[in-house]
Amino acid sequence: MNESVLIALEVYLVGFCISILIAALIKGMHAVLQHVNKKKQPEETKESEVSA
Amino acid sequence: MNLLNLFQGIATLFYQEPKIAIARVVLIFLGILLVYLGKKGTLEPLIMVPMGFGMLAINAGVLFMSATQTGNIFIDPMMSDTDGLMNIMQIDFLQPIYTLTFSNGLIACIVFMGIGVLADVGNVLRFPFTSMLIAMFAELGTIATFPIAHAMGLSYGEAAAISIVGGADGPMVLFTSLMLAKDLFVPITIVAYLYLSLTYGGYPFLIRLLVPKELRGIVVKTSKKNDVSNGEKVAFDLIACTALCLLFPVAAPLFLSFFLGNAIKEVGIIKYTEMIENTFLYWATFFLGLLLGVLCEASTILNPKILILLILGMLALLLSGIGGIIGGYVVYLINRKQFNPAIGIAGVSCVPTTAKVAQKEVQHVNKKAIILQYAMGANICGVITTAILTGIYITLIPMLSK
Repeated sequence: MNESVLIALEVYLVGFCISILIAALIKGMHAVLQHVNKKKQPEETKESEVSA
Repeated sequence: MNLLNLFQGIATLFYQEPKIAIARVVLIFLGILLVYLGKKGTLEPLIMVPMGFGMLAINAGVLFMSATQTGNIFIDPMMSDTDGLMNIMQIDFLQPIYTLTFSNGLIACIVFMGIGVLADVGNVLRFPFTSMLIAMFAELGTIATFPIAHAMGLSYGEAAAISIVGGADGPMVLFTSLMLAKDLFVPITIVAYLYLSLTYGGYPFLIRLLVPKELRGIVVKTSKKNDVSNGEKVAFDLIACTALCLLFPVAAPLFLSFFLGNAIKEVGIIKYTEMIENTFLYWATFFLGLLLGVLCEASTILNPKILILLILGMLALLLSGIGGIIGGYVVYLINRKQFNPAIGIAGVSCVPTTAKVAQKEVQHVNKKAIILQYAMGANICGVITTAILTGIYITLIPMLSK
């Protein structure tokens, strides 16, 4: 019984760490992509102004 | 000539052991009941109607294979010898489907791909930490049931397979039990699908019991603008699929199916999306139901462990529901009481049922409260966390058995 409790806790702990890691990856990726998109937007508006 | 021998389905009832014969009759009636409950909408008709018909036909259609042996011409799940399998595939009409799609987990992966097409990961990208936190709390049943199952006499593999019922994801239970508890995969998967159908009915009561009315009516801030692009969703699919496949190669088919399904939708390949959603998913669900029914042969179901599995399956789903609501309360406290704890139930994956259950319960109290964005985020994360725990179990348990 004790061993199975330890296994369950181990599974949960590893699962929890991986889930939080994935959440952090998502947050990081989201931030980077939004930063890139923001940078792109002024450049695109500049280009459209020039072509106009 | 004994006239009874002309009608072998009835004759075998008198030839077989009384307990098997009684179980056959009970299962025929259970099959009829499942079809009735499916038609009524109490249980999921997409699974229950083919399953009920399969169950009644397999138990009614028993015949004499030789003078002393009874059998059927539907399926032989225990056949593993290659020559025997080739012979039986030419006789038993469902054997090719079982051997080539069911026993290798392909059907579970196709269903999972369909879930991927239906899922919207946008809300996971909006609220990643909140969604993941709730989903991990909602895995309480998947974790706590494991030692209880082991204490009740199940092996580690069997205990892990029944614990995954707490993740409320049918294909995942099928995949885990095929990997870790091949002898018990029929009763475990049947228990899972029966209980998952009942989830729709049971969880609203759990919310009402654990979340007071004033908290159920809390309005949460939602994002009105479409701030997550398709490109971001595809990037998420790519990163998550790569990371999880690197971590758990044993569960890689599941990860591939889910994220590929989702990416196909987000990339906008309409033909593939329609093919997976309308053809693959319904094909797989139909045969999943039918095969599960056909596998409910009296001798398979009369396993002494079935009662334990029935108790543990119920316990796993109950604990996961409670865990989800605890997760909802934790986020409620972290967000300085600006969060609706009822959203927690959506952490129990069962896409999109539990999210809908949460929204419905909240709207009963406050018609203006829209929580679906958070609920769907937690819901999709529930699928991901269950896949992660499945990956850990099926990697770890065989190591322990060595």
